[in-house]
Amino acid sequence: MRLPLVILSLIFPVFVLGGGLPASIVKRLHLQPKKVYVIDFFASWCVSCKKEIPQLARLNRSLNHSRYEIIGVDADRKRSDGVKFQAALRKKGALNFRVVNDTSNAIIRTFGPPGMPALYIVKNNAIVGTIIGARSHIGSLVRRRLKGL
Amino acid sequence: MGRLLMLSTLIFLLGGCGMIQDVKPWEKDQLAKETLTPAGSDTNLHAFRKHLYFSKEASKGGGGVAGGGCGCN
Amino acid sequence: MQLKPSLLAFTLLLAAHAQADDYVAVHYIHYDEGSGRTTIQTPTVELNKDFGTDYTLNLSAGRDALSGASPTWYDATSGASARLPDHAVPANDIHYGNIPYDDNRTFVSGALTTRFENRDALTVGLNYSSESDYLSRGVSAEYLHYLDESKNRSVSVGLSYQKNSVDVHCFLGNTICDAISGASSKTITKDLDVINAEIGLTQILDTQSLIKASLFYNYESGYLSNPYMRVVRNTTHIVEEAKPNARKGGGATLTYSRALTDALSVNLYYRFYHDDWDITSHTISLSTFYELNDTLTLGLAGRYYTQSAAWFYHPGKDHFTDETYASSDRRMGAWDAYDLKVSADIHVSETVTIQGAAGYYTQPGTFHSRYLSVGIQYGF
Repeated sequence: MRLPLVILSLIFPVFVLGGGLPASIVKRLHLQPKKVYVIDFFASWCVSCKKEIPQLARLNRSLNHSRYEIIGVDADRKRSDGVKFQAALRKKGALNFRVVNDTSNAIIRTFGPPGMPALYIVKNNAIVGTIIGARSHIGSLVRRRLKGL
Repeated sequence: MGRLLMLSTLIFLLGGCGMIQDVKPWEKDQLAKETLTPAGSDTNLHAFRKHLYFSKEASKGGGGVAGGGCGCN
Repeated sequence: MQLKPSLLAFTLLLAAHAQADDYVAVHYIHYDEGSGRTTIQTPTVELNKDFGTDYTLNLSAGRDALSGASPTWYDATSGASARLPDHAVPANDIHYGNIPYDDNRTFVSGALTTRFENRDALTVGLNYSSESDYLSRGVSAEYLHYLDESKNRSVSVGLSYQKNSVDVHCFLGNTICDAISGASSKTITKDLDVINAEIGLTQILDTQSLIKASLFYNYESGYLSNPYMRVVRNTTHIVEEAKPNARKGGGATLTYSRALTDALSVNLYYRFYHDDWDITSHTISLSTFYELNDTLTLGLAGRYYTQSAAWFYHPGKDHFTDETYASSDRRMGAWDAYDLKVSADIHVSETVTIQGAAGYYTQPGTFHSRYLSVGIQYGF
């Protein structure tokens, strides 16, 4: 089990479970070590991402925000595309968590997900869970993953 | 003239296979555009044109499988 | 009636539906062949609905209203009629010209795409089309498999089967009815089965371009003749055409798509086709789209097609004698065709897009046609 993790961590920057996040990312995302974060990478052109966000918004309504927080990272390289996309979702009440616009793709490159949508669970500034690719019931899946964290 | 056109098209198409880059999942904004398919957004008209060719010409097939496109679903 | 251009929707392989926003769309297409030959009006309605991230359902339905005429041989002394004369006709009275017709065609199709956890996708489709003397039922399936983790390379395999029924009305006097007593008021139904297989490979080349290559194979078996098409044998006998009752064909395609800039995209397509009727064809097409701003997208497309003739084809009235297979159906001849289309998409709001297009299709020296399409798409 250890060997594949070592190999994976050589190939991918931090996405391996247990990988610590660089200080620059912690600062950029305003992460606090005591909190558990759900970091959702999306983009306006990613249709599955668009389907998942409203489910995460529903999950967000029931979370204890002193312990958990969902952060969106919009990977649109054209800022106006991302802003327009988020505004349309917020208008419909389908987006209710804070979003960081990663127009330079510096954040997503650091995580290096092998697919989109990509969702990471972070605790103590380290990755403790990943869900890569579209999931029909992402809300309940994340809720289960958060249990006990 | 026709043959020359075919040959230049083929050379152009095959030339594209020369360099394949490892495109990351977050770099597919351009590839996800519907304008990167011959049909564009008007799939209804595209289907009509295919039907026109089918009913006026003797060749069939070759427009079937959609393929994976940008691979961003 | 089989002379008409709407014949047999060749929707054998339903393209796997890309995941898109849910929408309902209504379109109207008007098709008109110059020289007053054929006019077609086609209204269609389409619904595309995603169920979560894993299912996409696409339904469409439409109706063609056709009126016009199609060319074949006839006895000029009895007028332009598809009915076969039961006697020899003096060569001077045999004319090649348009036989009038009108008909309606109703068509419906549905496709369901299921995506699995690894995002491979299976699309299963059904289609049905009906006209006064033609019935077509088809089933198709396509499986898409990604070959790498980044989903930059994928392979698709598609298979389809279409079962068609062709009605031959005996009042036309076709020899197929000769064995039936009192046949003139009867109709004989003949089968035509079509199998199509295709395999395609898609490869993303870089952040702006991708290429797709495919191989395809078709097998048709059954009544492939057109009960309304005529040939002239021994210079004085107008009889029904006789095409072989099977055809095997196939070929290869190559498509290259590239976003030249943020606003400008080009798609280049080539197809090679060959079948055992000796028809070889080449098709190239180029379609470009320019996003002028957030509201307006303009499109320009051109297509060139060239084919060789079927081995049993001859356009003349003094060629055929007692050959087993004979056809003067122009579609079996050697010729070139050109198609040009301009289009505009107007994004009226976040949810409403108006689509308009105009096109011109010609087989120089034979016929030319114009088509106009307008539609509205509502995303929800």
